[in-house]
Amino acid sequence: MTAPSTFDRRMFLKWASALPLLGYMAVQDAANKLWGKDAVENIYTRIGVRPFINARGTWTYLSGSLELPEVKAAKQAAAGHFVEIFELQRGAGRRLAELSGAESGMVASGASGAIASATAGCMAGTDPAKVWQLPDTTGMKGEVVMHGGRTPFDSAVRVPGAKLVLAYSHDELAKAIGPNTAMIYTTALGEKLEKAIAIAKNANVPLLLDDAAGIPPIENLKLYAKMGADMYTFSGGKGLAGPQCSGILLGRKHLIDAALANSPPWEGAVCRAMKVGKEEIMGCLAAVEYWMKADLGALNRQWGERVARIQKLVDTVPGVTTEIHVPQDGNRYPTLRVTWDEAAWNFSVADCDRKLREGDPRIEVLTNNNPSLVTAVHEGDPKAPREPNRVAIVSMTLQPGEELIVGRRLREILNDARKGSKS
Amino acid sequence: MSGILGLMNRSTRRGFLTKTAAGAALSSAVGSAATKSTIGKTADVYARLGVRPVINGVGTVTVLGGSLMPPEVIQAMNEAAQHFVNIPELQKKAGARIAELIGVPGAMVTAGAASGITVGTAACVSLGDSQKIQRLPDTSGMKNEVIVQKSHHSGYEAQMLVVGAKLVWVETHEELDRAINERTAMMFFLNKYEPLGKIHRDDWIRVGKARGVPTFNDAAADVPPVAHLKRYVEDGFDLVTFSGGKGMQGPQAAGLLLGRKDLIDAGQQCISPNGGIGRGMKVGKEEIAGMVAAVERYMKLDLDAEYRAVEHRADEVIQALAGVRGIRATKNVPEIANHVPHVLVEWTAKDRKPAIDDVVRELREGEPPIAIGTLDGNLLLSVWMMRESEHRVVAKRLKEIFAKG
Repeated sequence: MTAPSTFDRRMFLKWASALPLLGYMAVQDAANKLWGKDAVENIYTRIGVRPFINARGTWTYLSGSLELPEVKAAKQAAAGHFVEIFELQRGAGRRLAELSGAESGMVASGASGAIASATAGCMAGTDPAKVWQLPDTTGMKGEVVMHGGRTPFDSAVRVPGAKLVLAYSHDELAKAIGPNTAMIYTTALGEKLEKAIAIAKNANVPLLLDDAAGIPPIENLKLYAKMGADMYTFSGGKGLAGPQCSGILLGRKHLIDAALANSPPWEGAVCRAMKVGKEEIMGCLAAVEYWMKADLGALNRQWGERVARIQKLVDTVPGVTTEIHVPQDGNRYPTLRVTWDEAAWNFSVADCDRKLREGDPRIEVLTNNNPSLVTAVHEGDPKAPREPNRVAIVSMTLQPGEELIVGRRLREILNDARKGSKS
Repeated sequence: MSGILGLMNRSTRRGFLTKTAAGAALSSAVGSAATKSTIGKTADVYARLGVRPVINGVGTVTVLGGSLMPPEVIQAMNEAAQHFVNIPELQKKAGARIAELIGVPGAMVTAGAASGITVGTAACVSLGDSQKIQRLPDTSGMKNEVIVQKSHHSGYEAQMLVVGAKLVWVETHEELDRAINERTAMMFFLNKYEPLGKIHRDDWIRVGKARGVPTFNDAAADVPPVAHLKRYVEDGFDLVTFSGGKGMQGPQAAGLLLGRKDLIDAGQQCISPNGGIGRGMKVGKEEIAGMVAAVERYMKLDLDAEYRAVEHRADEVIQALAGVRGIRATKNVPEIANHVPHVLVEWTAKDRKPAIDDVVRELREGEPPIAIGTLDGNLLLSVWMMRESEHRVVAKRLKEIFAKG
């Protein structure tokens, strides 16, 4: 380890706070266990897939989250028996209702599957003839008003056959509702959601809230029922840390019954291909139950400490600015933002991202690049957000000890880049 | 009903459906009262929800949870749950491994066989053009017609329609020839209904090849024998789908799509995590890794030994029911799907007492609950998915029920 060239008093203090971390034995042990020599071979590397340290958060294309031990245990226990899936969905629904205060619930193949089932249910109801007729919506209410406009996930609404009607403001929403409106889809939260719910109630049209990344905090499980949302969905494989291919749909009994009538295991249902197994159903429930008991405050402190360690290490690089914040739009976990003068260093965020990915162990961080976004979504969209690009490190998906590897590696990369820019 | 029709109706997934609907209504009445099951300690995971595990006398049907995963698969899933991976990368490598194991050009893991139909259709409609994939289910300007034999009506048509495909129904060779045009994207074939159609597989494949139209074979429940995994692709089908959670005993929410490499590559773009029509057909890292482990195990498995074990169970049940008045129990092996020994229980007495619905209900409501298949007004018991002495429990209960008359 060499001392930085611009050694001044401020840098000295930064080094002093970072130094103990470099030899932090317990964290080092944890890191070795995960990424040391003995950990090299696993089920993925044997088929040529490189696992990575996930500092990007819960993304479906990066395999969501890691299942909680409680989830794995529930999946394993569930795998030991045959059960009738209709009966199991009803049982799961009763339990979800108990936990959430919503009238009923079901487990779907993910938030996307839940949206598709909810939409199909609002159009076809439980009438077998209509269920079988989808995605042809002739003779049914076949429109869904998209409050807030299109989203990258609206294919889940279109797949069962619904036609999208776009509405941005609350006024537009109220005006867009017509005799063919089967459902209102919204991602609005807080007051905006309250207003949307009032408009939906007034028009007597069911409203679906998509808050895929809404748990934790677990309070949201009850909140939306209390607010009067007719249906709402959360992904099971993101913050919930349940099975990746699971999600929950909660809401009014007759709407959940209708959603189930259009879902697997019904053969002939439009959503049949969005399959969820008995193991995933039980695993997802176990995840919800975990969060009912979890101490989110303590977890937030741990997560915060994890990124703070990285911050200390990265702060030793002159010219680097860091900040820890908690985003409010999904992935609501302590997140470290790292920036530097990209132009002066001739080293972009994308360069840094690539170097982290190409290193060993591979590290994924959050930048404005989203490889899983359908390119057409933002093409030509003048309202698409153009936030400054930066490296962000999301704490929740980091395993204990990994922060040390990430911090050291990022420090090394940024140090090299800074030196390179001077020569 | 012709012999062939009778054969095709046996214990098919659809045949079971009507019974299940009745069973579903029934079990809701007893659901909340039910608490303790004797099946085993881990059954508590279900019992606390008021859900009663059942002895599976139907076979590898989705509605009963498919199959039970062997320890190798569960272990693979647990191991997979410990690491983050990039899902498209995992799909590619897992697919390559499965293709290598089975001996086909391309493979991928889907969210089940129904998802295999959607993904396969989307692959044939888009031919991997990402702009087109993003536009689905709007298929304007794309080949979007799928040809199906009327007799191959599967109940899974919606899984093609959601892609934006239009179905064109044919019956004869002439109709098929006329139906193919520049908008034809795919020719769908339902493997287990081959004997019902006028156009058999060889001709279906031949016409597809001659006219440059990809052929798709839905073979969801059609292993064992293991050779089928490779044979249908070798026969010339461009795409073949199998359920992962049935005979292969992989994860219930997984399936396989096998076949032409370029179409499989296209298919991998049409499923989660990619946005678009396949996003809801989510398959997790655990399920993908579990499916690889299931195929690895299945290719090595001594299926003859498994078959003999199932046959032995069937024989025991037949023996146990030998002296029971009013019924005749015989061995029955469906030709294509669920190709393992079953026990067919037919009424010999004219009054057909007790009535079949009462027998089914009594088995389902008893302790432990037993789900049983039916066929043309008779009972078709599958002992394939039974463990240890479960088949004896079923035989004993059947005896008791018929003894009461």
